[in-house]
Amino acid sequence: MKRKFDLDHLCQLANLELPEREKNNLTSQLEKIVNWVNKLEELKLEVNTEETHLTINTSIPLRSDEPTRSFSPKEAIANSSESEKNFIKVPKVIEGK
Amino acid sequence: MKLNQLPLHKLRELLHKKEVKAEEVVAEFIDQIEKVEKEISAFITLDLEKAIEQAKTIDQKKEKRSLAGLPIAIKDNISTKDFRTTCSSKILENYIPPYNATVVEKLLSEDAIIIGKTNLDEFAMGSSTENSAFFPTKNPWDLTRVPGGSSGGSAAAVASSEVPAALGSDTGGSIRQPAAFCGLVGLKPTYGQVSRYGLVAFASSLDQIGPLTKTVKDCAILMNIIAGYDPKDSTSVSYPVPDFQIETKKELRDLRIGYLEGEILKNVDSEIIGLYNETLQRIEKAGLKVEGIHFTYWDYALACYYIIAPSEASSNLARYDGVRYGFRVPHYKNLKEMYTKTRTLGFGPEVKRRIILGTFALSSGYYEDYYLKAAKTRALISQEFNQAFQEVDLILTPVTPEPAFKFGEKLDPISMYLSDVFTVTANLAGIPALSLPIGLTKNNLPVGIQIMGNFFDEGKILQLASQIEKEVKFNQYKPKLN
Repeated sequence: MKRKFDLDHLCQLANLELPEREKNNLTSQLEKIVNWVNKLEELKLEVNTEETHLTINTSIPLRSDEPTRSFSPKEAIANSSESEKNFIKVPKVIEGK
Repeated sequence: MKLNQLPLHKLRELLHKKEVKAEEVVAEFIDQIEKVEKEISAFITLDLEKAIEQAKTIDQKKEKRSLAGLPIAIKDNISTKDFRTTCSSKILENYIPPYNATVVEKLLSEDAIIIGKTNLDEFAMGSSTENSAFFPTKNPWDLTRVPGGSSGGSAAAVASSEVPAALGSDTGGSIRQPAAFCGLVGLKPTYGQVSRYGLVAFASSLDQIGPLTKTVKDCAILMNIIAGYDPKDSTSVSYPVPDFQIETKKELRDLRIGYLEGEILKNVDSEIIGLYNETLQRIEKAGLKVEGIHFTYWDYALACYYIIAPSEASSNLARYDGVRYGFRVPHYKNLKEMYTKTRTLGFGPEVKRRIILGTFALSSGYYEDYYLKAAKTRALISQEFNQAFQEVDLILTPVTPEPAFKFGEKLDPISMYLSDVFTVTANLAGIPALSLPIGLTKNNLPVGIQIMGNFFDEGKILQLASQIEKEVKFNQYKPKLN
């Protein structure tokens, strides 16, 4: 298995930022963990995606499609850090002039 | 004996017979909380005034519902309406859910009193509560040791008699390991048996909610209330729920019992192995057929789990971006920086570690080698359990390789992950598993045994647990604290 760890790229994907001093420590920890989970290499598995789902031998029904009352706008935005009227405020999504 | 020392079913009996009032019961538990909570730190949020008010209201009612007047603690990753739900994370420090989890609704509809929210490892990621962003919880049996995790607050609250029962969640052992460390009964039900609507998601294909109690009967009482189909949870299963209390009382005679054997037991503490073997002998003496079972893939379960769980976590935790709920950094230049800074300051080290690990396992070029391989291994583990359950009804294993460890003893993440070696398989296979106390070590630390069953065989698990409980009489032991 490939084991190269590009921490900056992964942080970029995960929307995280790490100070330089934490990076070395975390890289070595993650490398250790990845080497440890590489134990699965011992298993010569032919990967068949159809066999990877957990099957519990019983029915999982769909609920009936009936409209019900949901949260009021006030309740829905009550936990946001910034809001105006019935909207949550975020910085501009498309930046420009 | 003081009321707060009694198990849930005894208190329930007294309340139903009107021999005590809910107000008296709640007052005794509050008294205990005031005495010991400073040392134990089991709770993140308590609402004692509301608990007394609720008790008074319940005392006025003519009809006594199943849990009328019984205080219950809820792990702080289970949503409670208008009651702060933090997941022990800075990112949700001030989050107040606008709704109740289905399990909470079910408890409330039986007139239980939600007295407080208990501490956990941040987002349920950990085995000691040391990963809580707020404070660690202490083990009532030895204050220098961890209560286990991630449901460590729930376990410590019950073990120190601050509440008669609590709910926890279990993704890789988070109910069973703290139950073992604190001398309690802890059940992870079959995947889909208990609704997870309102449980803050960690790894959705593994998470289950379950009870932590002092006795098997108490566990059955709570399961009777929380189990069952919920249209609000798309993974909830429509399966007839038996009366678990009746199941618990059934005759044992025909059960075939398997026990885990092989290399995997070599690293287990000798005192735990001693009590484990003693319990197996007791079961044999009781006339049950007992046979050893060898699992080829058990050895691979931890590696498999520590790919699947972080992968799902990295996806589930993408929702914390400072927009709809939770913490948001005050200063940022643009949207991307707001997300990044919010998440960087909001999450603790273990959560970041797992998000990055999961991002790695799912990222282009690595997905086939890691996530997919783990998913395939998981299927093999599941198949191996299917085969085993054709030979036996229940499988016994230790719960943990060692008793409760000391704070700061496991700074290396892998050494912490190893404490889940016996518990992760049940989550990977989706089967129910229970932790039952079977004795104490020489240092007075509780030891548990794990009873695993096939899908929806909680009834059989509770039957055997009840039988072992009668013989072991673990209730004779109490943490020194009390």
